[in-house]
Amino acid sequence: MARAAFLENSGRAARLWLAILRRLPYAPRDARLVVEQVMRMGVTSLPLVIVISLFIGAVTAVQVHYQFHGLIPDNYLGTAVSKFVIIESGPVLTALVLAGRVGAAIAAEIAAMKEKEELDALSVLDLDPLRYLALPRVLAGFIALPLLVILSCVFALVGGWLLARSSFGLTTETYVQGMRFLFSGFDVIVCLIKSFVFGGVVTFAGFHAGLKAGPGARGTGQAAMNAVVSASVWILVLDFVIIFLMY
Amino acid sequence: MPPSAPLIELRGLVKSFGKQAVLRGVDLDVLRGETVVILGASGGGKSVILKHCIGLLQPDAGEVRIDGYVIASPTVTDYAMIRRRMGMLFQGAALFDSMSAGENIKFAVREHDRHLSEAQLDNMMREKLALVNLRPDVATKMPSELSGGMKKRLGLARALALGPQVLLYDEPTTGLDPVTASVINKLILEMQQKLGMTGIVVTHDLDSAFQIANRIAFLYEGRIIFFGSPEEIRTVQDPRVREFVGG
Repeated sequence: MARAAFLENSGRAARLWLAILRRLPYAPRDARLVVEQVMRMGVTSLPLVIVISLFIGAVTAVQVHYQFHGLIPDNYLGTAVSKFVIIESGPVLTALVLAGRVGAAIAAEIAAMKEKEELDALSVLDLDPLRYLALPRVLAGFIALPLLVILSCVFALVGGWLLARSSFGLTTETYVQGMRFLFSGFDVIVCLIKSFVFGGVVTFAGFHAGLKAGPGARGTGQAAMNAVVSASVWILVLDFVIIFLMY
Repeated sequence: MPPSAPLIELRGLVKSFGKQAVLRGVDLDVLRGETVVILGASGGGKSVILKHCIGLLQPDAGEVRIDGYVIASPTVTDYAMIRRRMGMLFQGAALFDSMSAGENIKFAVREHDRHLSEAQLDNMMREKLALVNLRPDVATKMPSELSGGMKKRLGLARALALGPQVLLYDEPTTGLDPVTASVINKLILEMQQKLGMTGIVVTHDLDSAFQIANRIAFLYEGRIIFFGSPEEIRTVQDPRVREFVGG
């Protein structure tokens, strides 16, 4: 029974993905809607992403220092922080934060629109809800998340540097040298690929959950929760798949 | 097509949701320029009929014809042509919450004809507001700032924006006080008299039905069991109808 429901849900999600992608040719014409969504997701998420990234960088620096102190020189602290931040924590944690913030908000918004017959109203006015609601949000996810992840990585590295300097007495030069040691452009490409994929996953999960929301306040709450759970699981699964394929 | 030929024809419409049969073979003719009211108990499938007329639902069997063309059958899925000829006033007005009242009216028109200037759109919007007796300064208000009656009138103005020939009204007076309900009834009459609009009204409000209907259809257990003038329904002997009409 659960297996049948899972397969039915997956099939419905796959059909929705295809339906949204088929509307891609409208994207240039509806660029204004996409930019609006990028601003809404990106700019409003910025303070949260900055604060979280600073602390992620600092926590990473503390952990690296605690685990490897005496085993490897502190010169490599910048190396470990930058590797972990760029390959893993930057894209994954930013995506998880966005799943909670943006994915849930999209799910609740679409669920409320469905409840108030706004989706039907669009259809009656011969305006395709997938074109006007789904496509701009999903495209905005593909664009906004990589931008946020780049900022997240920068602020996480700054967080690590502030901590290394103030608590472990590392000079800026040593930290930067450590960061540059073993730095690879390929890691940045992997980071961007992950952020791109996760951006689509977060916004799609929100839209999909909103679309199949049940009635009433309970349905809206359930939709928001489903969006976060589904996006989080897919982010971690796809993180593994990408890492496995790329390294 | 002679003027007396039906503009809208419903033939053997059957619809079930899961195991629940809602429509069991609905036949109905609506003549050009007349207002037909569909009466029946709540949850009896009246709104389901309306949603078939505008392609929001697809029948399991039977068909809907507009001007002789089949627009809804188990195989027809393209409703674009018909939707521009029809407008719908939703039970809760279904206004787009994120847009101002004026933008609610202009949005669909702008999307369908991007060559129109803002000045032309503003003129069109003021004209539609005037048709439903709303002052031009309402245009800047958000839907949340409007009363129930104003929302319904704005919903009607939006439905008129694409210049439809047919208007579908889903419970237009539900939830309104008697004075505001009477204002909406007068507006429905005006739409018919001034604009020659063909209308289908779904309601369980008897006062409203007797004020606005040219003909009344009574839906009972998924079938139309009475179809005639308001005078005829008052004198009908069928106990199922009499119980509802209160004779």
